[in-house]
Amino acid sequence: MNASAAIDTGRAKGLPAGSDLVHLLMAGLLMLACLGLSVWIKPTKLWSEKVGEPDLENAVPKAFGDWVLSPHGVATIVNPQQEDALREVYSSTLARVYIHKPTGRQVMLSLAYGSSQSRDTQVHLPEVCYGANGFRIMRLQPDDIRIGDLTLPAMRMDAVTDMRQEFVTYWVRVGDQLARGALQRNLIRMRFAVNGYIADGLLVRVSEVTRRSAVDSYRLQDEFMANLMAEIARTGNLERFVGRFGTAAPKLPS
Amino acid sequence: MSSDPRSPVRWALFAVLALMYAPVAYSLLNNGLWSTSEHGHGPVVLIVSVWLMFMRWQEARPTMVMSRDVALAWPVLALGALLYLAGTILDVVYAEVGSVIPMIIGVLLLTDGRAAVKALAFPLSFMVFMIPLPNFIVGPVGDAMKQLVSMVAEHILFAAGYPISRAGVVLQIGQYQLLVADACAGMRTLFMLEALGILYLNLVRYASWFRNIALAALIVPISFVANIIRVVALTLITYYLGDEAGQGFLHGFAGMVLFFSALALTFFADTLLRAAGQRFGMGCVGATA
Repeated sequence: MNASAAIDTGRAKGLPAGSDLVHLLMAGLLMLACLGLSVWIKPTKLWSEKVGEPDLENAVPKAFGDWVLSPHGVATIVNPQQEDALREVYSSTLARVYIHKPTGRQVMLSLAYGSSQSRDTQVHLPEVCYGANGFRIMRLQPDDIRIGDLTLPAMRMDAVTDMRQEFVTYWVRVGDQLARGALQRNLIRMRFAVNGYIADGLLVRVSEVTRRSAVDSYRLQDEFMANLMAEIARTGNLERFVGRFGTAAPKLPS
Repeated sequence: MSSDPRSPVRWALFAVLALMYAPVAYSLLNNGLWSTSEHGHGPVVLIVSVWLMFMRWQEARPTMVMSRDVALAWPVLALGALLYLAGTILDVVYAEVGSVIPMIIGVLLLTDGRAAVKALAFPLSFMVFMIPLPNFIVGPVGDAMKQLVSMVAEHILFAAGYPISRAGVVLQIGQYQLLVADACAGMRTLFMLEALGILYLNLVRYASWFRNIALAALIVPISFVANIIRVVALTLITYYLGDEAGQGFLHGFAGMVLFFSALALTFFADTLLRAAGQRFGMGCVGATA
């Protein structure tokens, strides 16, 4: 069958002419290709099922160094809707208050683990949560925390309400790395997706409600973090909190 | 329909398009965002858009000059495909869902040309409302709105003599503490109300641009006022009937209050605008005139 005949029969049936038909077919193919690609690439396996979900309750010691668990626990405003939302996003959470024995100051530790870091179930960043709860974010900036050989890409956030000021330090692990900023998190998620996995995520947040200066508060928080990570490293759980750092185990002060 | 020789090709291409988005729709509906109350309006917007497309198509078709805009179609299709792939692979829901609009426009340009897109311009833009809003938009605007809503609600109740105080978005009335949460007074309800208002404007079909633009702009303060009414209602319910009533079925009731007060305010504003337009002779030629 030659080309002109094809066009003629096409016209007779009311079908579009040859060149138009090519474009229409290509559009159809493009759509099918998109569908195929997305089904093929879209990750379905959970990384957390491969490496196991962390047992936050037991991984974090109740007393270490100069720190002991506060007997009073965490006081929060009861908000059932928020609790439902938290359960949706996180597989497990842990909130504790530790007392610094030498000074009596209290530091809050909050861990939130989500087994699936897809877009709508990603860990919620503190600046969003605090903002949503009526805090004003006075400062939010990156700061590297050094613990022995480890350098943790963390964020510092000064949050205030009419009644209190709170200094917050946090970092986010996505899959096997710490990530600061949406771009880095997305790149890690993409790397996992290409390998067929949905990355998991952990938010580690430390904060203090205080009238002292930010510098003072962050110094105490860094001390808390160094003590805690050293303790966690001893039980072999460090990777779950700060990700992987090559093959060599980082050296920590003990 | 048989008088339209392009019909089979059009149906075939849109069937492929539907197939392309079947997994997306399935994941949204099956425990996805569309099954949550915050995004529950998504499928409704979809159905309304598709229905409007059919209606507008039937109206426009007899007089439409059909052509094909191949050169314009491919960039639009490429954009849609790119958004779709980025969205599905990275799980960026708004890109995934939003990509359907350029895809439809691209297919229409190929099957029937520019005139077809123009005829369906409203339903196509209305589809924007079924896209789940990304957090980087919802966050800042919603927060400002929540702060303002809580503040105004506090002032109203305080002026009415209730024992109320406020810290940020936490209201304290009597022995109860209420947190004005995202779902109660946020950006998303505003988004939904804006959708309703725009739909109303389009269905009523004013010839007057003054009224159209004025009413579209008024939807923002209207939903703001409606949100205040809702928060005040919820606070009073909690104060008189207790925490359980406030969080239980009456919470849903307060949602209805929001919805209907917004609707009533929209009609009221519209009536005022009509009167104003006639009085000041703003060229208010209604659809019936």
